Amino acid sequence: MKKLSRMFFGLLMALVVFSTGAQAAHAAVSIYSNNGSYYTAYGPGQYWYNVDNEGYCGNGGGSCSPNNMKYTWSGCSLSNYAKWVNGAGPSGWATHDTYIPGTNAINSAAPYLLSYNSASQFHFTINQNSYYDTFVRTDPSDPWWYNIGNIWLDDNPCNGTSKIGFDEMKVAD
Amino acid sequence: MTIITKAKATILPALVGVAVLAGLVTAVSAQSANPQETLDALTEQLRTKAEQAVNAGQTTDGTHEGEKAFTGETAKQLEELRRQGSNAKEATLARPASERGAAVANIRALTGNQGNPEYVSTAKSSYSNSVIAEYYMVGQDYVEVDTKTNKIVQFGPAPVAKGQPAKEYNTEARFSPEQLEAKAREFIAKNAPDANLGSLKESTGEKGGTNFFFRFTDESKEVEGVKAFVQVGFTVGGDLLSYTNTLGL
Repeated sequence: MKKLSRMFFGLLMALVVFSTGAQAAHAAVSIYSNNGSYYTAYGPGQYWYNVDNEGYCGNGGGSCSPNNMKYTWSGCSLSNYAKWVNGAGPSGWATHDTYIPGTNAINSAAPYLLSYNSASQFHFTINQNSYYDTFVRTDPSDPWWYNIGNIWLDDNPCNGTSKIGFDEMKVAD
Repeated sequence: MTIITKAKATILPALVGVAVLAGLVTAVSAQSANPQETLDALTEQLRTKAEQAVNAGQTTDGTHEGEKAFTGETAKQLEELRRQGSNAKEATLARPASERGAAVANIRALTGNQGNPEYVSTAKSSYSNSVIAEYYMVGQDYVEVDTKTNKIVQFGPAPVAKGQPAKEYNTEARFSPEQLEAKAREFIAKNAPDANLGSLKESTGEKGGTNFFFRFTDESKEVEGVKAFVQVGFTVGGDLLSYTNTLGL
């Protein structure tokens, strides 16, 4: 019963790698939605909230579906979390971006975990309250990851009670 | 004869040493001159080391369904290799440092000379995979710059490692929403003078009662499936939260 899963811009164009002597490479972008076949939500159903016409497809200008975003409330122990699987995106060096919805996403330290290269991990937080329907680059200082696997977003930042928003994840090479 | 022989005995090893040294220097230069080869070598190391660690059982299950993590020193070594690989990947895309002056000037103009922009990486834009972007850090904020135009695509607080403090903002109510909108228009006029706000669709958003965002969307243009826009967010205390401009991508 899952709705349309991901948008795959089977993209894009042949890019010329100038530094290596005009070697052509194909770039790809995969955008995984918050309700597709590459997304799984865990935890008690009564703590998951669905809001239509919000988020990347609903209000952010994306021509896609589903047109909703999800949120849960933050706490101190892990209860509800979601997993996005990079099941159709680039498996070599790629960047990762998180879409922060304009509504119902206000936690100042939403806790994410990105896995790559089989079992390497990068734990990070994003101040969702500072962004509104925009992407945020993971680790701008060293933005390239090898063989991105899963991305998780948890509900346990332990910084009070506020809404944590769940929406699109982008993997691009 | 004896003298000549001695001379040969002394000079020859020295010549060989110089030749070997020259060879090494050439090899290193060739490696550093070819970022793709460096990247390929690091990728192979990363892949092989991970495979060996998995086969040796140097992983542990995490708290999430499907989560696995490398353990101990292996985890640290692989992360270090990943950072080196990221740097090598960046080198395949980066422009010379001497060409970053206009980007830095635009960042300084946007931040009002608050903080010192530090170049940190090169990658593709968060909004368009056909745009090569540079990333800078200014205090706790990061800035994405389009290398073709030197225009700022995005400014905002960088994600931080778990446990690190988030950037703090002034949320004392000093500005009304109307005053913030005027501030946003002024900000965009200064930092994105090409944006004709009169021809764009305006929308306003708010978060937590303290953070206001002013967005101007070009309904006629899409960038990778998303309508192009310029947006700026301020707290009611007047602090700049974030800024995004995809109109020129």
